[in-house]
Amino acid sequence: MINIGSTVFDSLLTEAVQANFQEDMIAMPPEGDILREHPFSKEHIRRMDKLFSRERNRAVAKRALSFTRAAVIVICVLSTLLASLLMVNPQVRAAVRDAIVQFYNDHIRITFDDADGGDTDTPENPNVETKTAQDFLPHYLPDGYTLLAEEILGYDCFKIYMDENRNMFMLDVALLAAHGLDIEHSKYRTEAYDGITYHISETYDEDAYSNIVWTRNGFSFALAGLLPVGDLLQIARSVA
Amino acid sequence: MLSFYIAMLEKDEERDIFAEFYNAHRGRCLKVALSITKNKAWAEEAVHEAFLRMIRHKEKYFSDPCKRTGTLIVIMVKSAALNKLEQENRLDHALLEDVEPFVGDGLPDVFRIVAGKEAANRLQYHISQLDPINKSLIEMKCLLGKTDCEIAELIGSNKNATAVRIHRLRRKLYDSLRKEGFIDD
Repeated sequence: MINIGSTVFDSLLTEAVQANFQEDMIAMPPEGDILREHPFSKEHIRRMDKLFSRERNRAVAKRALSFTRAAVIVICVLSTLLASLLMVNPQVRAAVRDAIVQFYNDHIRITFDDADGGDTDTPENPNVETKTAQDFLPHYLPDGYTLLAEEILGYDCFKIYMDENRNMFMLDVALLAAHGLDIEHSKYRTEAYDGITYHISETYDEDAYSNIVWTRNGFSFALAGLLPVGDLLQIARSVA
Repeated sequence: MLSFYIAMLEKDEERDIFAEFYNAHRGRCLKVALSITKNKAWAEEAVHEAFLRMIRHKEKYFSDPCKRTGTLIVIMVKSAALNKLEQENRLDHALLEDVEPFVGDGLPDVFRIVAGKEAANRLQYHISQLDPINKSLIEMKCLLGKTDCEIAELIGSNKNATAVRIHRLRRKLYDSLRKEGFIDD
């Protein structure tokens, strides 16, 4: 006799249960004999077929989802690589840029109305001058000055006047643009005349141009020259 | 490309794995369930439930071919059969005869036992004399390694009642060995 703890009985019990179970399984008649003695009902066969069919479909769907996910990832990676390679090409980049600009012009561009409630961007607006940019002429010219050249770009017109000493002044008339003034290296002031405000930039440097800009009825005007500001202002006031 | 895709979706080794396993073990599963339920419709339901449970946890039971054994499905069928009896209020929770009342842990802390094949053989004999229901409970305890609570959950029974029943089974088997002189406490 040996003194042993109760765990030995549990081990013995487990061993005995396993041995008994195996004996029961061995003692079982063959599958065919059992099924002849106890055939399954049709309802049971139908239920089991449905169970296995559902499980097969689920496995197929799961595998299809897995393949699809992998395919999408591969396509995304390849597309990204291809796009990166194409964007290195200048022609492709230019085409993309043109497409974006076209889209912007067609769908996104925003136009602003002026204070009169009309659209100053379109020459057809009755509040805007019916003239074109090239129709505007200075009716006062200092002695000796004549029109040297004229250039028309869309709605804009650029005129150059010169005298016999090759002194020049330029008049730029623009419909859909605005002119700026450099007031950092010059003296800036404004003058009002006949309802129009003239912005004057008088240069300190006698070799640099003085500038006058103003707007009227949708047009923007810019006058630049080496002439005294007084002469330039007189020319500006005569533009009509 | 499409045929390759379809072929990948249905691998030969997995195509009817569940159906093949079922066909190999369905007979013994039904016989085992019948021995417990004594009702063919209930027995068929127990077989269906056991296979359904196995499919739902297929990663656990089917991932390793070594686990696809008849032993596991038979025990699952037995637990499903007990569950069915419990649902139908047919699971008998009556006291086992000739068993001492449940007091504390029950078995003595230390006892002496005659080691050897004889004790194991006698214990095996007593187990074979148990009715199918009690045998199923002790098999779930010893072969699956489940706790009393887990067994109660498997068969849908009350935890305390199941624990008491299993304890009394162990006590009965223990007393059988003691009466035959294999245990001296």
